[in-house]
Amino acid sequence: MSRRQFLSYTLGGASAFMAAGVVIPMLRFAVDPVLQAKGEGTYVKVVEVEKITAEPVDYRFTVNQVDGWYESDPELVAWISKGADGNIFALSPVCKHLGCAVNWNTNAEFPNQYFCPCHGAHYTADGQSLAVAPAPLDEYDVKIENGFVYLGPIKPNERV
Amino acid sequence: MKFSEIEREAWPELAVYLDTALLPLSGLTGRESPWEATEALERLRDALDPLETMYKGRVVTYPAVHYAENDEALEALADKLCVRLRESGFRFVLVVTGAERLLARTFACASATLGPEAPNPDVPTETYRSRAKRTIEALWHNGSGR
Repeated sequence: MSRRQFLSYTLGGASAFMAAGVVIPMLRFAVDPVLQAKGEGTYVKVVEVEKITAEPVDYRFTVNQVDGWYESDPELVAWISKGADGNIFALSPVCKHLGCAVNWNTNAEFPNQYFCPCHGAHYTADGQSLAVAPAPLDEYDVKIENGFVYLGPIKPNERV
Repeated sequence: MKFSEIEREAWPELAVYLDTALLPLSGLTGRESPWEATEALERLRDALDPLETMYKGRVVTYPAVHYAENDEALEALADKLCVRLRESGFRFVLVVTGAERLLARTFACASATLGPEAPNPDVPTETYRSRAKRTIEALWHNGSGR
């Protein structure tokens, strides 16, 4: 090996080592979310399965929410009932017109329907919009485990 | 929704639906220590939160009135503001307060005065949420903003 080759290899190797010291931590930082284990915390235990009937009932529950450095426990509401197909489902109470909270069976003109007191939007038990609102009520992801109903993130209504 | 959530371009379209103004009164006197002021504002938040959640699409929460010379002056100021809010197009104006002493006062120009009362263990009372719901929905149903 010539003196020139020896110096080239030594300087090249040292430069590559120093560059790796900078690049590897950056790559690790960039792919960190992919490497994080999926937590079970996205589902919240809400109520026993045996309490759910065909008549929707509103249940309140809190979720742990981390937004940057700010951590909070907002209270959410879900109307939970058993559909004609026997499956348990949970609807979000937020009206798809302008965001007021709907209630079940509170207006005599619309029996057995969700009714919004703000501008009169009303929905079927499955969340299908019958007037005013442009879309059906959203659904919560539902998981049944060990006799309890667990609710997850909100998703578009899949029942209508 | 809160006044700050509404943009200039969206207001002409939203004004048709948002016909109810919430005027918050914290009822501070200036004699409170910092922690008492914090508690007063937390009580006001607790009074506003259920209304903003239940009726987000029909109510607009305005900036709060914090100080006045005394309760009589606060009552007069709140009444004047209610009149101005109506003149600006709101059909209903609700005074909302976390200070229990202000609930006993009469805000003549407001459609209603709402706020949580301290629970009395001897007399089971309706919860604040259900009382507010009953009051507001009756106002809207009857259509009389006073």
